[in-house]
Amino acid sequence: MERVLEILTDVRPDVDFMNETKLIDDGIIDSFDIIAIVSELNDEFDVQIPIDELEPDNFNTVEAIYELIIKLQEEDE
Amino acid sequence: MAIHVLEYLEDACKRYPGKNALIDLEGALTYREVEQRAKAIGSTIRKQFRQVRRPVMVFSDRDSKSLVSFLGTAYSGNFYVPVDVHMPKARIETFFDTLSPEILICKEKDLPLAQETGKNCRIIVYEEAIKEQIQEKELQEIRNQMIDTDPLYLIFTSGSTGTPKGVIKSQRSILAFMEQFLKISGIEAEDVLGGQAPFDFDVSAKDIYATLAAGATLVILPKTYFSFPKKLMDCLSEHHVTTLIWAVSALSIVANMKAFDYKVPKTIKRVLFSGEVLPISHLNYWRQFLPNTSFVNLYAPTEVTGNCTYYTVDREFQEGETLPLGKPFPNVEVMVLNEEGKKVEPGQTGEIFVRGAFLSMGYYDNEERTKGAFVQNPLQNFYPEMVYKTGDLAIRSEEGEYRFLTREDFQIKHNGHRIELGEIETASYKIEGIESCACVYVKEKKKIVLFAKGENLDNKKVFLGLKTQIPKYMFPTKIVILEEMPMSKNLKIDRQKLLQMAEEL
Repeated sequence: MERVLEILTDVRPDVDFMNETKLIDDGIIDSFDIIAIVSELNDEFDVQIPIDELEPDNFNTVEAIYELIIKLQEEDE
Repeated sequence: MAIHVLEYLEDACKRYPGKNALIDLEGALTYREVEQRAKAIGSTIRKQFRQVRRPVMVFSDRDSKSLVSFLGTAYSGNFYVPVDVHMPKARIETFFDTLSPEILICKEKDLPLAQETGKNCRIIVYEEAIKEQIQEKELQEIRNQMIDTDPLYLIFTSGSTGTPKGVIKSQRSILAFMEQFLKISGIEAEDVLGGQAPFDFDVSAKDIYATLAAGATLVILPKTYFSFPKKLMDCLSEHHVTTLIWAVSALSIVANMKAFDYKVPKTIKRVLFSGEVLPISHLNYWRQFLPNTSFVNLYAPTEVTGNCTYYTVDREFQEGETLPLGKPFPNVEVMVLNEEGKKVEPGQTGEIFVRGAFLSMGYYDNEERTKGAFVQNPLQNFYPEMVYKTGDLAIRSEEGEYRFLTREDFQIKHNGHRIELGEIETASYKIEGIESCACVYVKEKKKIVLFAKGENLDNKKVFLGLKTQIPKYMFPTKIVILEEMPMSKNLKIDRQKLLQMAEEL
């Protein structure tokens, strides 16, 4: 979770990721950010976020992103 | 031959009045509706502003209304300037400073931004303007005064000194390009284009005018579809899209996110791409799912309307190969010249120069820059003939094909956008506390890294400072705060060293 937060903050140092719950729905992060975040997450956690999981709901909060990564890592094992 | 692009719209309207011309999230507009609304906007402008060939700012977004406003401006005899409403205010203000426009068109919802940035403008609200009475006689009088070398629109491009340059385009350049582009691309009335390019980005001119010239349909794809591409695939399938004229970065998103695993829009007949060099692995991903689709690599800087070269992929490519630039469109000449201004021999490298009617008119109110880039043809000195000096480098292969090489200055291509690193640096220097800074580009990783030195600086402060000045696509991928800036012997910032540091990040 720490690492996810670090990646997010690296992409957008101006966003308070711990307290935002509608990152996508409120348009806080945009498509450039999503693309950067997805590619960093794929590299860092050695996963490939599949197209089916690229849904706004999976990216609205840090927790949701973290849970998605855990789920993908478990599926991988 | 046509002398005004509005003839495209009017011809299409005669042939297919009830057909959908534009589709966006709010719904569809038929050719008749587009023509009527554009004429109403043209009449509204005319009522308030009797001049012609002057800039009209259009606050644009990914919607049909923006496009109708462009055509409305054309009806008024003036030229439109698309301004993305999501741009930082400070940048929008530099556009107003450069052009001193008197008219601004916006939607009701953007009125606060319009009032703030367009203080000296008369503001026309789209929703009101389309209800105005059409003044056919007035519009005809305007048309009678127009010739094909009159300006049609203006696009801003990144400037190395920090001030964006306004590239001004004539009717003629669009008409001349479209005549060739429709033939080469094969776009016809039955086609449906899926528009990806933002309207303040010159790639979109091909979507707009190819659609009107062919009497086809344009589906304007929302930007958010590119972060969650399931919707994108659904939309392309649902509307039976046949034609994509996209930035390379958009093709790369689809490949990187493996979007075709979800759904393949099988109706796609042709994909035309430009902006940067398409990685072969991404091309191969697309071709694997769309084996019968034609893929065309296009090239041109913003200063040339449309494109000047094209290459239709006609064989397999292996990773590590680069796609050729291909051959010039008919009616344009692309010359690769060495430093003495002579054509290069096979195996040699030179700078790309472009000649012909596709050229833009130059930079608005910037004689110095215009003279630096639009120059007398180095191959002849007997009569005046302006050619455009691109600054792009190419190598001529033994087979006579040209391939792109890296530029040697500070202009980069990042996610399909042309960016001067100097513009990011100029913006950074305006942030309080920054003593020195430099931007480098790591090409392999596609990362812009900004190094900055100063008192009490942190990433957040720099990021927030940039946010008010430059658009998102120019943002550094990474900001690094340094205690000391590495300097070279002659006391300049050591960019080589910084590049090394950036590569190791």
